Amino acid sequence: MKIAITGTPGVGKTTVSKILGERLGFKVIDITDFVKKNKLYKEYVEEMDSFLIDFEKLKKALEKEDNVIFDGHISHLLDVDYTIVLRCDPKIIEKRLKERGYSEKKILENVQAEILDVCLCESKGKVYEIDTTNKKPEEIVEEIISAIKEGKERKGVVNWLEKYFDYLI
Amino acid sequence: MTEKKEKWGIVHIYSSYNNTIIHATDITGAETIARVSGGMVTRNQRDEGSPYAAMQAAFKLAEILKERGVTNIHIKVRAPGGSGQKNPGPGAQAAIRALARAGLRIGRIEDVTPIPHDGTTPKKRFKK
Ligand SMILES: Nc1ncnc2c1ncn2[C@@H]1O[C@H](COP(=O)(O)OP(=O)(O)O)[C@@H](O)[C@H]1O
Ligand SMILES: [Mg+2]
Repeated sequence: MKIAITGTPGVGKTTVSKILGERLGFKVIDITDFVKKNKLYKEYVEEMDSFLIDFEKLKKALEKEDNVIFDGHISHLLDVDYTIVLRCDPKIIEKRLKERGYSEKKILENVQAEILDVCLCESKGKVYEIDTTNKKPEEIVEEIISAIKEGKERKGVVNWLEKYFDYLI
Repeated sequence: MTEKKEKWGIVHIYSSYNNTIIHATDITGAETIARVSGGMVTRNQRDEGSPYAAMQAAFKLAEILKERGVTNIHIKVRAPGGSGQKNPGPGAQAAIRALARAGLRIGRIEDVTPIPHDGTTPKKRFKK
């Protein structure tokens, strides 16, 4: 079983993945760390302060993994059995990314990606979306476990677009 | 016949999973001419993000633009796509087709969909 925990940076993926991994006895791979550590990128993109992922190399490196959680904002683009899309109020994401020291530009683009459901829209196969706003990590993990156990699928639980339109213009 | 100067505007299409908002501005992007959302043209909340709602919203917006004398537009699309990395979502495609069918002349179409990135990114950003 391969589980993707995806969502906009700052949404809470790593926090949730660690607890979920312990509960299921699954290994957790932080995709961002893994890509950097193993140099699975094509180039450094200065204006995004990010490494451009080489998906061919990344997929090859993960080929043999099983009973694993892929923690990352692109994990839904990997070959997995189940995708959990975490969502969070854009204002909270903005605050968390500020604390992380990201540039204004980088924060804004991520916040806009959350408002436009980018990770959700790109997710395919078995997908279960959770709004984590005001939920404790343990609570979110419980919800994920029961969703997976029951094979539940769900999409479209939030609608930030109308509410946060000002962030887009 | 008097020679008429063509008036240009920008149409920004925002297409999320549940909704589409189409926003027309002047050519500088600073001044709003009109804004129509999927919710304004459908009764059912479930249909706000559908291609049909996007199309209706685009027709409505095109009418307002023509009333204001805007005949030519550039389009900026923000629409995460399920399929190809460059394909805008279904709502956005329907909106673009509707704008053209309404008789607006279309100049550039730019994909400016935001890309989630931490220290890694799945693709490079559009040039601003
Ligand atoms: N459910 C939650 N409630 C409150 N704070 C949270 C929650 N999940 C994560 N956080 C906090 O938000 C920040 C970002 O979380 P993190 O798990 O690193 O996000 P991601 O891996 O998606 O970028 C951290 O400071 C973390 O402690
Ligand atoms: Mg993380």
